Amino acid sequence: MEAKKVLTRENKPTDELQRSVKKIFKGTKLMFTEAYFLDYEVDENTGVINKNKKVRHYTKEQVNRNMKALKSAYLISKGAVSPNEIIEFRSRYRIAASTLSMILGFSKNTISNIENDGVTSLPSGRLIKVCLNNLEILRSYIRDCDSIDDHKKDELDRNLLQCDM
Amino acid sequence: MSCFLEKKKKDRSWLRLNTTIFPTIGNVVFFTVYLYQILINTSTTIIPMTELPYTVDNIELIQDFINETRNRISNGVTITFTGKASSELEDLMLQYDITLDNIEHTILNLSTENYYRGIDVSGSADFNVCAFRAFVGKENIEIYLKYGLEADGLQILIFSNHIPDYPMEQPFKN
Repeated sequence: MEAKKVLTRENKPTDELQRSVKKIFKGTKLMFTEAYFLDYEVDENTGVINKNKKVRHYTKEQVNRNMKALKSAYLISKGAVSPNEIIEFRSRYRIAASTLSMILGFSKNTISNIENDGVTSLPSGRLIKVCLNNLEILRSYIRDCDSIDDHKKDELDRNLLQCDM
Repeated sequence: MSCFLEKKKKDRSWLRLNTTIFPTIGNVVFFTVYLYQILINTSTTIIPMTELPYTVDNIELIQDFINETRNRISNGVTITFTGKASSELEDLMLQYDITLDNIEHTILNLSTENYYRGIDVSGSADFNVCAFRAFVGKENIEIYLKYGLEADGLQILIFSNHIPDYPMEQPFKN
């Protein structure tokens, strides 16, 4: 896949790069992947550009993305579900992201958003994790879900029971 | 290891020879080394940011800097972060739930009273850098905010956004 491009200070396109970052917050080790690009270093006291050294810079969009990833890592460390856990669960029990969203009472795109961008709230992240770890709760939510027809409910219930055996 | 220690001893004996038997030569060597160290230290010393005195012209200068920032942002220029500033913002996010939008909102609402240090009146640098004492987020967290405006371009580059390490005075706040 071709790397995403970012414009440098000189308006030249450059590759977006990624690296794994380890951050310790209140004694908890947080790992996440951040996006950045390289551009010439600027001395923060004199304002002079050093044309001999390129250092990490971040666009607004990259900072937002990195902060989401970090927040997600922090919430996961506090007991929220991780995007991978949801993806694995869905593929194991053959449930669409939008369906799982509706079963849990979220709007249609919530699960898909969490899978792509990570968790944004600790309560919902923990709720999802509890539900994924307890199939009985999930089955009761399927039975009570108004936005899924009976045929689909039976199919989901069968999948949960079969795969659980 | 022992080889290294022996070498060290030899080095010291060479110094003793210089300073005792040939005091003049030894002093010249030390003086040269001393001069070299001064030269190195001077070249790596951090140049502190200037503090503009409180004058009508300088109020205008700072206001121009703030206005230029607002113009760039309103014309669609997005702010860029250095590695240090990005890491500091992550800390603010984890600690106080501060977002990048909060920082941008603070930048857009700066006034001359927030001025702390900076602005190069000569205009010779690639970036015009200015530091502010600002407040960010719902809880009005005090931060040291330093950013630069590219002179020959449009970049707005954030250098610092962190909790101040020491009490900050605001020379333009009466």
